[in-house]
Amino acid sequence: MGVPGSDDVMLAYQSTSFHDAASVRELVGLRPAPEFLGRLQQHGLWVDGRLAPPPAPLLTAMTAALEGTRARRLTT
Amino acid sequence: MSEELEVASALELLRARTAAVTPARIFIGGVDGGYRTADLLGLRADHAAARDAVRVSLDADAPDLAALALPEIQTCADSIEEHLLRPDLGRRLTEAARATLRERGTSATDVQVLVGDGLSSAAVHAQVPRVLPAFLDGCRERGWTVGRPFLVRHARVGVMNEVGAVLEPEIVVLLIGERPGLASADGLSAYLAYRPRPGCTDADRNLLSNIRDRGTPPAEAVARLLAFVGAMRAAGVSGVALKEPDVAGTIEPG
Repeated sequence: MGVPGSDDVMLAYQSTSFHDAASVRELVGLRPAPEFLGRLQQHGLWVDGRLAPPPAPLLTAMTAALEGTRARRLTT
Repeated sequence: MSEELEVASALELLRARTAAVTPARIFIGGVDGGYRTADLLGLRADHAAARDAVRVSLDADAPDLAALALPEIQTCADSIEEHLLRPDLGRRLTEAARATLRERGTSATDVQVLVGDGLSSAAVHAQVPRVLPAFLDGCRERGWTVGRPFLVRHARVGVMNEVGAVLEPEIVVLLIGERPGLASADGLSAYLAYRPRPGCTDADRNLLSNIRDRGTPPAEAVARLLAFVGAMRAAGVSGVALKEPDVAGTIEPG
């Protein structure tokens, strides 16, 4: 399953990561399911037959979307 | 700016923003599908630290813990190895431990607190000195009688049942170290049970988990525990029959 960096920070479990899935797919020459592939291409995340870094405008939009959020609990 | 640099700088900004609000390893980028070397090495180091943390014994003489003056008892698990491999033994008290409870403990109180190492002594060292005194003060302010707290070495959660049978308190609260996550070995759990007895299961207990600065901060945990105990005493039950009272409005925002 996909867990960011294989580190489930809420349950303190370790599992497989999105990176693991992508690496295995690349190793054995598989591609994402057609529906997902289409969506990845649509967002510029799949270019020339492989995963591509997210386009800068997408990253900037996500950063902007986080504006105003804060850690609910980050007291020390 | 080249497109590549533009992406790298936008990713860096997003990463900094998310790192401020979550420890989750998101937006870490990668090389094709894989991790960047620094992230892979970081993961391995953190995993090694988590494995090590399980094997570090509780140091009852550490100043913050020694100051609490908790009498120590032990479960039937004799060593750290046995504790890890035989959870059943960690749920049972030795005869000596029962005798110590009877001699030095208090019977039939409203609240009996236990401190257990569980799977992280680091959690006990980091959080218990910040939780226990404030919790006991809160209990006394509410007029509840509290038994003398004990430190249980090689403890599993089920040991609450045996202590319940020996001391017969109304409520047992067990503060116990949680299984370490990656580079976060200091999470403490508080299990609560109304009149626990041998045979009681997790379904009969309530739990407040992830007590640590980046989870439920100790001060908030104390407020929630006191509310929990109050609700438990009023309802005369614990476990799935009891929902945690909502105290959000009464907790100072962090």
